[in-house]
Amino acid sequence: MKNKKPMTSQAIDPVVLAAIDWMVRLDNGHAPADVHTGFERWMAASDRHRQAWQEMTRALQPASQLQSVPHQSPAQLSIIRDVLNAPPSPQRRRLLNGMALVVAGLGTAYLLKRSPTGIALSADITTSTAERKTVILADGSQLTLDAESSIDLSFTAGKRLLTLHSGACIVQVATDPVRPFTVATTHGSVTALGTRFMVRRQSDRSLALVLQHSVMLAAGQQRQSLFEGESAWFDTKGIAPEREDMRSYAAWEDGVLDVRNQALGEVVEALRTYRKDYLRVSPAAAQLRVFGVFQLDDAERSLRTLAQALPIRITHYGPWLTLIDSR
Amino acid sequence: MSAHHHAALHALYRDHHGWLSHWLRNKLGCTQQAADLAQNTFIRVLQSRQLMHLQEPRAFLTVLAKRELYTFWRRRDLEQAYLQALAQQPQANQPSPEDMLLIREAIAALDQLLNGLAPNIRQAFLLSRLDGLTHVQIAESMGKSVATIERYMKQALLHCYLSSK
Repeated sequence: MKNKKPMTSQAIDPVVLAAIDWMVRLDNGHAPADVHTGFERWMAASDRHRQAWQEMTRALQPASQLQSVPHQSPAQLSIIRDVLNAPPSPQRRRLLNGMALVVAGLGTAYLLKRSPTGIALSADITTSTAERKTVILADGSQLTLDAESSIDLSFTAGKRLLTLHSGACIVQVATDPVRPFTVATTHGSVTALGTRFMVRRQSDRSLALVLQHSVMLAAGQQRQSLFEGESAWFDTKGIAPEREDMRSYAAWEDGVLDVRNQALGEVVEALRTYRKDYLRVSPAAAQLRVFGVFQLDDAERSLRTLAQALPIRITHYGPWLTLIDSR
Repeated sequence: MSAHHHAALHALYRDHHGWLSHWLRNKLGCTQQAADLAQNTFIRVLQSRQLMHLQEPRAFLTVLAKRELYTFWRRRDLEQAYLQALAQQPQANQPSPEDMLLIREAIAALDQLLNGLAPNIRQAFLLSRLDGLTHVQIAESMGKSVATIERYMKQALLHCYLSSK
């Protein structure tokens, strides 16, 4: 028997891409009449067109099934959406990356964690895709934001509070013995008097990494000091110290992604905030181990470097999609 | 399936099934579930067609078994989240037991279909396909441009197409 290639390495039929285009145009809600007639003409033009449309409809079966389940109240639908919107916890995903196994009863952690929508618009400082920004704050502290990050500032006579809504920041805190400097996420808070540290907020947990001196981390009912070079994950339930040296996770500040034996899936996840298109990695390719230093500001070159180092194939589909498959 | 292939599968099952069941039992703490997942793992082996090229059978089995574990736990998490949310609803909003079963199955199926999709794309897709919002409404509620939402939708649809293949 021949060794079959992973299915995603087959070229995507342009007819399927056309069917997707029509679906999105028709989904628009107020598709003008000529879109409808154009679609009917396209469907009538060839058997292959109708077949691709059917394949797409079939692929979406689970969604239409949920929509047609008799709902006794609109509340049912919003519950289902909230449940589905919660991403798998990092512990679960790590299982797929073939890293350390974490077995824990985290069953209820998903509930209603959906972030308030449109939050980036109301934040004080934001960065967009592929953008990093360094600002000097009123107290002289220096703040650097990674791509796709947003932050709110609240400085008063008694405290300096910075709320990280998404992404990551590195702060070089100006010393002020009477006004502690705190970076808070929904998962907990990191407080320092004068030091340098990074906080990254992920959907289910946040990471604190101390680059200089020390900080006080508080999450759930727990408090813990972290010292230079140390890091810990935290969420509303508490703190989980990280034993690995995580300092390479702050390398984005210098515009590089420093990868030491991470799964390709994670590397791509980190590159995503630097690309406008959508990167999709096949499950087989996602498990490949990666070593190396990659330029964030030239994500295209980073992809090419990855393709040279690993048995993968990268295919671009227009400006909105890039597929990565194992070869 | 060739006789050769059949013999290879049989040998794999004979040599490693006990070990795999034990490995899964350590993860799950339940013999029955471990046996089910071990069975599912061997079904995946059948489908993977890589049997003849195996260098390290246990590493290969572990990768497949981890995917089974992931699906199992993810499904349980989803069910618990759904039941918990339901418990906070008034009696009048509770679905019938038959509907509830359908909903739980459909949630698991849709979640698997969307597995691997970036959170914001997933959110846009659900708002469109479950809530039936227009792209303009989704753009407003997510604080993004309509062009971005349409790009998300294309990406989501292609993802679904590829996942269902």
